[in-house]
Amino acid sequence: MSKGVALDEIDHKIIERLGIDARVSNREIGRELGLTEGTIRSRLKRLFDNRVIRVAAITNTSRLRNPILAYLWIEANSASDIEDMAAALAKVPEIGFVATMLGRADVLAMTLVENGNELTDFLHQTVDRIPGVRRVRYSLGQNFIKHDFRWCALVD
Amino acid sequence: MARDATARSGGRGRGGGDAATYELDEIDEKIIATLRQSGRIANRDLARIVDVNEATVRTRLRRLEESDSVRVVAMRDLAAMGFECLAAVGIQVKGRSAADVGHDLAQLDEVVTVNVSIGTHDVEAQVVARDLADLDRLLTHVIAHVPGVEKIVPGLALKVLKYTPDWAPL
Repeated sequence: MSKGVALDEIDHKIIERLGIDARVSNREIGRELGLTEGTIRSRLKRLFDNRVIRVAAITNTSRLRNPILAYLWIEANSASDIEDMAAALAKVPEIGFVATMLGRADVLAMTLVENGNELTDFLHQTVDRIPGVRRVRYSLGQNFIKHDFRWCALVD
Repeated sequence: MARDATARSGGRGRGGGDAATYELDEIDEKIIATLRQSGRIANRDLARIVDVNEATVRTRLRRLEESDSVRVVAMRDLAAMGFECLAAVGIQVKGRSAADVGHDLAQLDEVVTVNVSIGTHDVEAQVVARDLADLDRLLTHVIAHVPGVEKIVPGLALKVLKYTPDWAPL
């Protein structure tokens, strides 16, 4: 994660613009902000190189039958397993969020499922097989009231 | 969240929402998969990879966007934007519906995700804060005072190893 990068007002405006539509051309952003295409290009390069932003294609959850955000609260066999267990969870493509936790669990992982069977299969066939996993509690987040997809963590 | 490295599920789930008004075909899936890898790729290069002409790519992209099936956006790194704290907050509700409390929480900028949940808590939320003092302000002085919030059970992310939400309600 890039903590040391100072962002000025122009950076914030560019980030805001790309947060609405990242397919917009450098020339168009430049026109809107009254800056040259070259300025936008070098600003963007700096933002990408320093991992301040990344561009992603977000698919609408309404394409899923009944999107449920499953919070998996995972307990490790022993404290020394936490680090490797979290790293292994992060490698699972279906899991979109992994963090080691202060409170509630050793590790929190999140995945999107469409029904209970899918969750059961995923827990038994994938999560339970990861070394170090002792126990998984879960809560199911239904009907998204809000999800600001513009946030992420750009980790190695 | 990323259920899949590609948009495979997109074609399968013709679910209830407005966006799912047409089936994604193989060309759409390829376009989406390519955009996941490289969001700002030029239409010309996208056409070459998907092996269709540029006009087709333009048409497909417009259709994907206009139907709200897919959006290509910049995602901001929390730490780079000055948010050091990310917490998963379970909330128990009393005297009001969980949905009503959730809608009030959704008004707060620092609350990035809110679901009504099944489990120990009535609502699950993800919140961001600049530092611990800011998190205390948000939890103790703001969220605790939202009508209907009876108990707050927060967990603080110590280290985020992965946070790449590729699915979202648009």
